[in-house]
Amino acid sequence: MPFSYASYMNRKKGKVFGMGNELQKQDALMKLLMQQRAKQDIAEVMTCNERSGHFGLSLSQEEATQLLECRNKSLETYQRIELSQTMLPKLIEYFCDSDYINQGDYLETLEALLGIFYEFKQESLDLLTDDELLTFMREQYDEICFGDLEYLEGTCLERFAEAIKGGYRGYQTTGGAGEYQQLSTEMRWDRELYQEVLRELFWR
Amino acid sequence: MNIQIVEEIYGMEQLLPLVTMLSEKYTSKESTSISYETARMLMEAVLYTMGESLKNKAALTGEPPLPELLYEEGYQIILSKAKEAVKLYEQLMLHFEDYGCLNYRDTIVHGMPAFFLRYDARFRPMDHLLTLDYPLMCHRQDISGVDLILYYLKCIELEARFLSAFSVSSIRKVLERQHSSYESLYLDNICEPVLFTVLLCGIAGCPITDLEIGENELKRAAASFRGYTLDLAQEKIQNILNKMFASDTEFNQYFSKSARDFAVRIRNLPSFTS
Repeated sequence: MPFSYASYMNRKKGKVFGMGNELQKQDALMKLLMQQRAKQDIAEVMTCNERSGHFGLSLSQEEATQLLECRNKSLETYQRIELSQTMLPKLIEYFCDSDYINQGDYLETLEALLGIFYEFKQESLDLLTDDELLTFMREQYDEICFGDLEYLEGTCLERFAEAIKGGYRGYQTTGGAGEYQQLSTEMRWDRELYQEVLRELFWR
Repeated sequence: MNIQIVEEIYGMEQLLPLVTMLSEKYTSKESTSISYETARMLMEAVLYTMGESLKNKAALTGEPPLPELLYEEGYQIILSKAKEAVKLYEQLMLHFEDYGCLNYRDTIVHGMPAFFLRYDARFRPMDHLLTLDYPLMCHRQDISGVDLILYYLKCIELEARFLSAFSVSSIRKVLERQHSSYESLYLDNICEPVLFTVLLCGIAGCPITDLEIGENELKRAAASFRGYTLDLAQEKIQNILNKMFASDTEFNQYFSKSARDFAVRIRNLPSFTS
């Protein structure tokens, strides 16, 4: 039977109140799409073992599946969706050569990092690209937090997100690198401070 | 509404690749995830765009076209409608007269360009961005995006064409009778009181060019409706409008939609009951 737009509109008039359900249906379908891609995503995560193996880090098939489940939960928590590809290989790529991750806590750290990643994707109003955020995270994780995830989440990224919400856009030119010096309010062990303490201790 | 139409033909599953394609464009492939809100916006954009294409098809026979084809066709239609709206607006602005009415001027002169600057045909085609504070005589609530803007501009152009038949000073007088500070406080449609005055003049048999009607003529016009039910009054007004715009079907079709409103207004005139 031919489809007529005009007659369809007439038949459907007054049926606009089902919109809430429609939206839920759409969300569910998009999640389904993500789940359908799960096998492919796991395979992608497993291929990362090749590179992370150089640093003594690897994930078993079971752990990769667990990581994916954790990603799904994080995405749901932060009301986000991955449509075309997963960010997990990128996350592994960025963090696998960190001195503060070892095989014993590899999976746990990755799970925490991806949760933090999605949280601040959302917190930064989606203004940061994946690379900008990961660059910032990795730099602070090693140089400022020394592997402390709570400090990364509660202080470094919190300050970065606040600055972005306040209109800061400098990260667009730096790609997220070297950003924290402007945001930090703590005095750190730079050369001058080190020498000053030395003087105080030994030449007083 | 479009959600249901496209769903009936394709099913949501077939549309997800289009949403994925659009999300990659939206993030320039620099972000692997998007918020639910953005995903919904993109889905709505896909549905609106495909709906535009469907509107142009009187009937679909046999296999429905590929969603990608329908989407691309719809996108081109949206672009051409946006271009048509720009042209129409430019023509309208050549001889635009606001009759001193702030709301009219703000909406058309100051507000409308924002649409052309910020309308996003790819990612938010359903969002017309403007509140369109100046009301039309015949507003439509079932359309949005470029469809609404194009309809709005066409109506504004038609109303302006009708108003141009009268002198600016006579229209200002009509508006002044509506509100002494009409320049800043009159928020309704300009055409409506003008056409109503024309209608009353026509019924009372006095000249319409000055848009002036005396107390006696007003009483005479109102009296001619005494004893009429609302439906009969509407019919009578409809007949008058048909005669008035016999040579212009566009005017007739547009203004006829207000026949019932005018019937109610006539029945509400103080001289109707006195």
